[in-house]
Amino acid sequence: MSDHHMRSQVVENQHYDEALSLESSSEGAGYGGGDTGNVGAGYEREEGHGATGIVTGSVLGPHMGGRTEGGAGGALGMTRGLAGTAGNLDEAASGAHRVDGPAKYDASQYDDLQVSAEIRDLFGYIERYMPTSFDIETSLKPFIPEYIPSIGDIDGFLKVPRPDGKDDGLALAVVDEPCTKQSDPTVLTLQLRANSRKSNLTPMAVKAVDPVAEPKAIASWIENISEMHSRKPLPSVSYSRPMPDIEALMQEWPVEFEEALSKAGALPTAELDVDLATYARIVCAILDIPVHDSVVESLHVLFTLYREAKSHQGVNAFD
Amino acid sequence: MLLSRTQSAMPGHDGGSGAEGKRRKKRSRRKKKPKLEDYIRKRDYTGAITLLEFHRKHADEEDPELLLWLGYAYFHNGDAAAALEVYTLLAGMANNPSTEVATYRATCLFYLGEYKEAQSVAESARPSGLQNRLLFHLAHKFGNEEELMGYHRKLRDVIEDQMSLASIHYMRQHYNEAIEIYQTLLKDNRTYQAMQFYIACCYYKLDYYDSSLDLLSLYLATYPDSAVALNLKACNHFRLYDGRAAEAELKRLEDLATPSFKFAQDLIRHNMVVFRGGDNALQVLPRLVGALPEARLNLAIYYLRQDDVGNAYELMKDVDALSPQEYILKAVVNAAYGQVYGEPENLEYAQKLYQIVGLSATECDTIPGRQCMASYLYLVGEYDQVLVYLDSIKTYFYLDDDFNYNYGIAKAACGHFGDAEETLLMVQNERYRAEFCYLGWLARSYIMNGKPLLAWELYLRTESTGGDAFNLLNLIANDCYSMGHFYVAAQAFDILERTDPTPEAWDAKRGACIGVFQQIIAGVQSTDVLHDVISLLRHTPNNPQVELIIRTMTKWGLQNGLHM
Repeated sequence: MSDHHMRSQVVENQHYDEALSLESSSEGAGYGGGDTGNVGAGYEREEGHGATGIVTGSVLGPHMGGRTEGGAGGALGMTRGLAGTAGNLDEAASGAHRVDGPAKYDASQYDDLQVSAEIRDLFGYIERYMPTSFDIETSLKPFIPEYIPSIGDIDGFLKVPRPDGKDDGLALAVVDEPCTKQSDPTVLTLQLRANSRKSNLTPMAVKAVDPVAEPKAIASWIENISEMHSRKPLPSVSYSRPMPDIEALMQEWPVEFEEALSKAGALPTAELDVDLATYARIVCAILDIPVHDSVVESLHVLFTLYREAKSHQGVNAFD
Repeated sequence: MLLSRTQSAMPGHDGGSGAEGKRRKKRSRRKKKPKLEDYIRKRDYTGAITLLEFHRKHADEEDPELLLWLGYAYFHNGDAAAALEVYTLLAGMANNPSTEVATYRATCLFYLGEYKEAQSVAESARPSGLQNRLLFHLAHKFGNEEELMGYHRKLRDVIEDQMSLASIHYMRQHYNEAIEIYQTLLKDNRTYQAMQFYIACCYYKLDYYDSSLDLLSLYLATYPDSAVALNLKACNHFRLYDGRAAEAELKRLEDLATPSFKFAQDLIRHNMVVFRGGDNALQVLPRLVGALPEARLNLAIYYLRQDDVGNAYELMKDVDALSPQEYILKAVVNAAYGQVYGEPENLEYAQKLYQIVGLSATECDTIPGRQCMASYLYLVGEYDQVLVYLDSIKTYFYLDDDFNYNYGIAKAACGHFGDAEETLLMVQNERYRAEFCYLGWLARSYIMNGKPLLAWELYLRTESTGGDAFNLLNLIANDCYSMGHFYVAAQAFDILERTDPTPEAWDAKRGACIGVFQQIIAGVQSTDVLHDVISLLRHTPNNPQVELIIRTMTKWGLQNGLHM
């Protein structure tokens, strides 16, 4: 049986005695942190232990020592002591006296037993064996601290000012950190290229996005790109043959035509029994759009007209 | 692009009256020409950098004015490396308009952790407020008290220097002094809302989580998307509630941020691991060791929780402890390492560290401080004093296996076997429950509490699972004997004798069997067991005494009307 007797490693105990004298320092109520409790303030190094003592309060201002005294915390009625019921070492100490174990076997208890000499002789064997008292090892399960979250560094005002010397309010009015809504560099670059009057733009690299890993990146890309396109000027088309001005085409039809149209009931619909190209030609003819070699250019005029008319209508409707 | 425009228009505005349309057109035309000032003012540094880099790329030569803005944007975007590159380029240019570029370079080096180089660059730079503050902070990093005082004296009564002093107080854990400065600045200028955040940081460090949250809510009311404030809120929630509550706050930040928001990503990833109880620790933390001070500690905690003492020790052994957390963790790894590898030097070092923390004015009344003191006393074998400390914090550890293990054993070592039994039985960890230390103390507690049969069952269970049964049996046999639990002692010594038939074993078994006999005669033990005792005696071969004893027992049995 292994017998780790730590007592052989007892170190002198004066520091601990000091601790007992501090017993009354645990007054105060309301330990804020429950069983969390990685605490870190005003920590003093053991004298002569470290090179850079942390106890320089006297230098940089009064050292506050414990947290239960003074400072804003005290003013707010907060102390860092443990809750009264649990925290008082005095109280606990009273209950920690070593108790005598339960009664051991005591042969004299059986002295009055009425037995034969033969049996009495046998009883003598009970005390003949001296049971061994084993020391059981005491291994410590070190208390593993809670994981420690990070709140980052405090601002030491080590920063580059604005080149124009204007006040940026950083670290004073607002914490010096970028806003969470940062522009997408690729989208912004595309936008800048679109607006640039320079023609010697070098081709740009577009970043790749993993749609599985970054679904949010994809959504935001689509949003950004469509917004960018919405700001672009219209592409202009140059027609191979002259086309009438959209404004001219927008003019109202002659009254006779309007009347004929209302008599006919409606414009010919796509149900007309002709092929698509013929139907396109018919529609263009009605709207005074010439069709030259290709119907495509005429259709472009048609759709441009449609859009203008629609927005015009919208204005009318709104008014 | 009519279609897109109506699509992007807000509901209720669609169709677009002429006036509306025109106004929107105007706005979008203005937006077409992105202005640097807009990006800077919004703190959209990614936008500013993109804009500046675009112009830089298409300019015929480097424009120092542009580079200064670029450096500024990189710097405040948290990209000190890129800023340094820009300032280094500027420093080499003949038409560099700024006299401060050297100090800026030193500042970037400081944030990159290149303290030595930062110092030498800063020292040769033109004296300025920033230069002095930087050297002040460097003296703190180097732990050079004399220089620290020198630069401290040169601080002026200006906001920038006061902020710098407050941050030094903070880093030296003098939070109350820091709070005082921040509060004064805030009182003088109510628009200095960032002070609310800094004071919230101090309160967090002081464990005043509710007060920290109160101040944060003021700051967040104005800046609802502040990443560092949301992170701090999450940390407070972690302390006050749990990891889930904390994670919810970080999630909110993730939802707010655009994909190109790269600031504080390490911090957020790190804290995600913390809030999820160590999930992904090995994927995230090793890369951050050195960048975030907590990452090393958390990685060590992770290893300790995985029972990987060797790796935890390696990670911590060269750390020069400064904060209480570092002291505690160093003590823990040394205690664990010393026990696992039987290194007395480590155990001694652990004792020392535990004692320092446990006695420090600031930690002696905290839970970790009490744990440290208890651990120190435990290692030096002062178990009754261990109990004083553990009793004072036991309400916080009702179901904690480590606590109950240590507490139960200390109780048992002090002879409080009733409490010991109760506490040891609360330990759930199967690995702990299989350790001889645990089994031995539990068995002893059972025996001392008059429950020798439970100790016997413990042995049988240990035997069937291939544990350290022989030593346990020896312990149970002797403890039962000394306590007069002869029936269990007789059975135990019987097995021991059969394993190792020595005269001593026979002595013990004989004594135990006669002890049972005595108890039967005294009426404290049932007569039924007399048969069991006789058959136990019969197991011993070739011993004339056996027959003699059995004859005496049988005779008594017959005289007392037993069926023998």
